[in-house]
Amino acid sequence: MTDKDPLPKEIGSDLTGLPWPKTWRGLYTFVISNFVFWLALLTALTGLGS
Amino acid sequence: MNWLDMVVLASAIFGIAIYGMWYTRHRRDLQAYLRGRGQTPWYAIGLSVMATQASAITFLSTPGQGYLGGLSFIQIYFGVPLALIIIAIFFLPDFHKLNVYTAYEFLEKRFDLKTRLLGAALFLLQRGLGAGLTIYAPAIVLTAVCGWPLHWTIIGSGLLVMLYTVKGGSDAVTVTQKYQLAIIFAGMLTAACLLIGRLPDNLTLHDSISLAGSFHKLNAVSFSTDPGERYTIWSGILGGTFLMLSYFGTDQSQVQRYLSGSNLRESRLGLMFNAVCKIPMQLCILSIGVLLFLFYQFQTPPMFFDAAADKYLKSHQTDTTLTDYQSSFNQSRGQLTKALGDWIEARHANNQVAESKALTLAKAAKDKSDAIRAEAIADVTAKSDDVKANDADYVFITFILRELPHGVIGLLMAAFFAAALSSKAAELNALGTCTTIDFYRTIFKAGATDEQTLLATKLITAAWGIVTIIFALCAQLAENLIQAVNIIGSVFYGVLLGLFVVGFFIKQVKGNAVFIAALAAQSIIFALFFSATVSYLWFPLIGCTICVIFSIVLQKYFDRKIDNGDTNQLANKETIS
Repeated sequence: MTDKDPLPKEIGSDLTGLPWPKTWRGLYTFVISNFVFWLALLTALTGLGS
Repeated sequence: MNWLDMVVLASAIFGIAIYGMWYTRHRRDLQAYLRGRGQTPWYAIGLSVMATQASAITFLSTPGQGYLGGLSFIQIYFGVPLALIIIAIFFLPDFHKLNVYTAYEFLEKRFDLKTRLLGAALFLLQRGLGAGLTIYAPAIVLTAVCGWPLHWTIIGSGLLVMLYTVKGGSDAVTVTQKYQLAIIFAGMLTAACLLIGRLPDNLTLHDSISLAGSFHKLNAVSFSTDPGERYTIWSGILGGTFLMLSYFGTDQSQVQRYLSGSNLRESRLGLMFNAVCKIPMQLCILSIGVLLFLFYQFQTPPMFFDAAADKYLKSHQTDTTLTDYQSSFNQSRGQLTKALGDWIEARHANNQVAESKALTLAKAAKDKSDAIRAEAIADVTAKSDDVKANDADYVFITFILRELPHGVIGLLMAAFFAAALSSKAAELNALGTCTTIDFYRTIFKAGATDEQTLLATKLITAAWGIVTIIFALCAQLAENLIQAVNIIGSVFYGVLLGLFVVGFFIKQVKGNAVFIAALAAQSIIFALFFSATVSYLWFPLIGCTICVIFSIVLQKYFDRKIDNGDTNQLANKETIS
């Protein structure tokens, strides 16, 4: 492996090929937002018990 | 179990095994056997990754965790989304670009052969031990259900999985996992629906949440900074990220799943599917445990969930100490059920004083019954070697066998076995592939043809099948099953991850430095493990950090010696990739 090896075309692509989110950056943001949602929900659930 | 359950169970077990063998009947080339035909779509990869991680232990043991400890176990999965994003961005492109069979091939390309072999050996060691537990769990189920001897159950189920895996290879693992997951989810959903249906009619959703919360079963997130506390948001996000990064990024049983994709996009989407679904899925499974807790507040549970303890109790009816335990336990449970009935009535009548009083009485009755149960378990554990002190693994299966109708019992047994088959097949496939590619074809027979390598892979996979059966036969667990699996992984994963982190991100470090650093870091983790002063969730983070820091320091030391003209160093001979 060297830095000079060309990347296959699809490795450099920023498109997910999905209707939504269209870009990888968008998909990663969605994944993090989804985690924050569940974390907030679980924290609220913990608050109900205390 | 009656004939209907047996038909459902046998159809699933043998049907899946036969289907896997039939589907791959024409696979005779090495590429297809080790990595599939490279046509797997992202959703199949996602399901395959999910099925590999979610073994029978997940579905058997996690509800027991929920029953006893509430939702706090969910925190271990907080690291999944971030870890999978890191793998998708940094690990996957190199794995695809290098067209590797195993993750450890990367280590040779980046460092040297000995570092690759060290990484592969760490994987084989921890996965070999973990794979023993993967067949130990369903064996416990069958033992409890049918009264079969545990050892023969382990041997029988282990041989069946071995046959299916050796014949099928990677492609069979991926295609069958879709159907296995369908059976698993159908079984768990059915159990949850029936469980909800068995709760008292006058117990509303609001009452259920309030009751579970009052008994600390909804404490999902802990902000405690006590390092001795096992599950906290900090250990989950920090330690959990490293644990999951190690598992998904460096464990061949997972790497092999997502490398079966036709291209980088499919592999990435498969991982992101898991990043989104893992936490809600585990929450659903843990919630079954909370529902079980609610159910057993209104129905008297068995004093012992462990079938061996229950059997011991029934066969020693003349032991007055045990019968005294049982009657005191039943009495306190009766008081608990009555107090909770009063609590519901008071809540619905908006009588807060009576509600508070009833809840206090219920808590006192529960504490009393828990104390009696703990004393009885300690007593029986001391008298019988077959009885386990921690019976969380038996909670869900006890409910299934005692409370669910025939047919559904068979479906859930099939779900457990489907889970066991799916993860076990992936593990054996990975163990066989890693041993063949990283050791056999690298050291023992470098010029082996594809036909010879394929045959060797099948024989080595079979050998691993036998080794894991032996590990399972030797398993004596004080820990809950799912925790035991995670603990074994945590001990080795940190250093393994450290090798990859240095490989991907710290370009100036070379093979000798990272190799010595990894050995030193693993020794420290062993010392920490045996001293038992730190929660196991921190081991991957600690192991990885030590490996990375030692690598950098050692490399600087080697570089300085080279600068000083010391020719007795190998570091300057290494190629920088």
